[in-house]
Amino acid sequence: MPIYVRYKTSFEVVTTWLGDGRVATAALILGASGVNLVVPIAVQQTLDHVNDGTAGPARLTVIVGVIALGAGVLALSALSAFWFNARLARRTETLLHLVRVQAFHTMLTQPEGSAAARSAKVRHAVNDIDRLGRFLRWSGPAMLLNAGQLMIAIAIMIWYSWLLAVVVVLIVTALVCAQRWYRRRAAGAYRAARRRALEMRSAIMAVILRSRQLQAYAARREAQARAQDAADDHSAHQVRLARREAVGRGLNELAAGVLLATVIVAGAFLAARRELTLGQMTALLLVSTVIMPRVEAVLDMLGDGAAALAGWHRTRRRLAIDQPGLLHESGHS
Amino acid sequence: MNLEETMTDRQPPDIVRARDLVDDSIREDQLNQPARPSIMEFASAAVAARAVAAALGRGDDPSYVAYLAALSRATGESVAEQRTGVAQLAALTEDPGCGSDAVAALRALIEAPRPGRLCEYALQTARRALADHCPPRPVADAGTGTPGPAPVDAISHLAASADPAAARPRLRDGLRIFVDAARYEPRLFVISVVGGATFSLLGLVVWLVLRDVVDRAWGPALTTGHIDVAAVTSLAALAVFASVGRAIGLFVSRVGAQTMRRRLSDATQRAVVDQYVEAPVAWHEQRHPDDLVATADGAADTSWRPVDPVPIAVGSAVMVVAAILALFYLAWWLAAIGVLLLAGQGILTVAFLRAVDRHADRARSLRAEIIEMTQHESGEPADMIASFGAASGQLSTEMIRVRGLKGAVAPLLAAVPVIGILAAAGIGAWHLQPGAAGAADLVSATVLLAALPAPVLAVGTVMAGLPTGVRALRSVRGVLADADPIRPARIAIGATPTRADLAAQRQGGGVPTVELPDNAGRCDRLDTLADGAALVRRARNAAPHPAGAAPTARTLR
Repeated sequence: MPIYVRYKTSFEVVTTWLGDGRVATAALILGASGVNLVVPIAVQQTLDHVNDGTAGPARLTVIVGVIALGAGVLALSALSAFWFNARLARRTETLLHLVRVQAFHTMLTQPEGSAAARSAKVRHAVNDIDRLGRFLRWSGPAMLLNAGQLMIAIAIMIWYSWLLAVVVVLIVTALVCAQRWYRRRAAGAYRAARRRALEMRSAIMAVILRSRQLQAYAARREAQARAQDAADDHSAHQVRLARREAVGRGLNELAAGVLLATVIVAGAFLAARRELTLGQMTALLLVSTVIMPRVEAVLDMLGDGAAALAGWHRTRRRLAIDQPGLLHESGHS
Repeated sequence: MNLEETMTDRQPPDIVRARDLVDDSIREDQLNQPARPSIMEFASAAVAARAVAAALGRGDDPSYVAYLAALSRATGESVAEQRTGVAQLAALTEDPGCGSDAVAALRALIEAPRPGRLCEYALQTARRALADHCPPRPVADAGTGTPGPAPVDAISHLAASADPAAARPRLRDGLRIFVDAARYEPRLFVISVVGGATFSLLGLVVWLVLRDVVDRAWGPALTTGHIDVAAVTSLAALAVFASVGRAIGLFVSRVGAQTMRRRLSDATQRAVVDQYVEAPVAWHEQRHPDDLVATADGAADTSWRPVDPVPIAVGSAVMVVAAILALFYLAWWLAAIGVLLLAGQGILTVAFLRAVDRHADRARSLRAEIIEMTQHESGEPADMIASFGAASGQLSTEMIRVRGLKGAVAPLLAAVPVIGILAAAGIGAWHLQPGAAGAADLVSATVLLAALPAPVLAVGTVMAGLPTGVRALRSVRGVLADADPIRPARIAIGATPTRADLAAQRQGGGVPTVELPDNAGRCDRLDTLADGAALVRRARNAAPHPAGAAPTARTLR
């Protein structure tokens, strides 16, 4: 499939998933991400008022005001998150139901091929739809929320110091590029691990099929030895893969360290020039600790999403499922 | 060369004499080509159902035809047929036309005495369907406390609860997985937990660096207008070094956990495949190959999957203790807020897991049914699409419920630490002194309180994976514990033979003394499971039989 068609269909899947009220969904995501605003701004306001010399009843008024405002934002954020989750849950499940039934219907009504071949086809399709379902149910919404929180965090940074925000964005971009490069390098290892898993499964199936024959004890032992070799090979690849993944995670940790060091140094320069108050700098410091975990989460979930969409493309090819028809059908939710 | 001679030639010497006791039915099966479920058989069920319905004057009622076809399959002899039939009956319980018939049929199938009973999977599906369709009512009269009439639907509930395989996984069973993992792979377990603890504790160090950043680097720079280069450089370097340490801890933890899991899975898989190789044909004939592959490939791997997040969870638990102590060092009321915050998150998590459990179970079984339906073409396409659509619709409904609950609890879980931080900021601000020192204290308290939810999430991840792991382990144990006339001894996973066990078997079974390797009692790796099994087998095969006769399957059992 040409790359532009792939992107186009991926875009169609995402737009189908989010439905007609995409603006409302985006608003709900930003509302749900508001929880990230509360702590830095509350700390900033408190510190700045204390350092201004506010004391006595005036300080109490400030404290109560800050806490009340924080609680209000928190409640609004929780409500937005609830609505967002509920809306997406209804939509996703309806969509998945339609896709499952359409795939099954297509399998049964396709005239060509044997029943076994059709059954294998639909089994693969159900697995792929299951993977898409896992993404749409868990990783997808979490990815949207994390992306929203990341945007809010960067917006706070820009509000306090656009220069520091630019530096942070550059570091994040460098991390994203490094991760893409690393994942591309590791793609071969993933393919090899998948191939080993299939080989092991085939070897186990051979053991079972041989064991169903009464006079095949020598063959059983041979099949068992082959299954053992395949299992050893599979395990070695899995451990190798775990090593690669752990190195990828380590890159994220290193980037987080570099980001924090940059904020420390840049903050010292900003403090020396007295461009920011102590409260604002503290808020910046707190926001900087939030950024890297969100970037990491979004990158992970983008990886899940790519795999899920690849499975969906495969399913469409195999079963010739008509996505625009699906779009039309699922429009009611 | 006859069949017996062929067997004698081909089998290894240790099981030859036992193998000659394989019953005649196997031979008959071999000679007569055993009946296996086929598409033709399934098709004939639908045709027969249509004919019966026509004879009863209900040939034009598709629900009734579907019900009869499902009933015909559910009462079939093959496992695959039963599974399909019960899944279709379960889907038909919602049908307004023949829902009551389907419920009655499911109840009758559950109550059927052995032999002729459903296979285990079909039985469980039937119980779940019945329990969901007709939830059990309390037996005792709430007003008087006296027992009321036995509720009709209590039968299915009792049947389900009486079956240990159908019982809900208990926490103790789940924790046993971790204990076993630590027993079989102690070195890797300790290494990965130390890696996880390093990762978590260095995270705490990074957060504590922030206090010095405000106090020693930024505060003076704001006051004097000059940068303390040494302080800034050392703090930036500390942040980078701590992240390098975290990366190393994470690497050790993840690779250690994955290696441990692979070793455990491999040993389990070896034991399962060994069972397949040594089991007689009759044993294989009673089971569907797909189920056996799923147990050896999927369940053997899934059963140890809960081990993966354990090192990070243990490390997080260590970190939370350190965080509470640090909060206590700052102020006792900060530690109190931290403890309350943890308790609140814990209560919310447990309440959520309890609320979601029933729906998640139901969704899991529906998903299994849907996958099962895709395995075989079993009837008229229209009927199959209707059954599939019904099951898929039910799955959607259950998943919307599960996600609705999650959508309600997740924002609350996210809000709890923020509430704690707001409270700390509010109380702290009242006593706060102007200047960098006060700000540093507030930053410390904020980051420590923000770090507290991590262990709850990590432990929650471990707990969430436990039911799947326990179910998979049960499935593996079910295969390994199946009675097999030719196997002299069965050593289940989780019960690796110790030196004392082997000695007791020697005394109890009249087995002659054999030389035990020095490491037989330690079993520091699960690999020794296979060695232990081989040892016991060798000992029992060498046992002198009464009257000098060859050991029979009955005496070996």
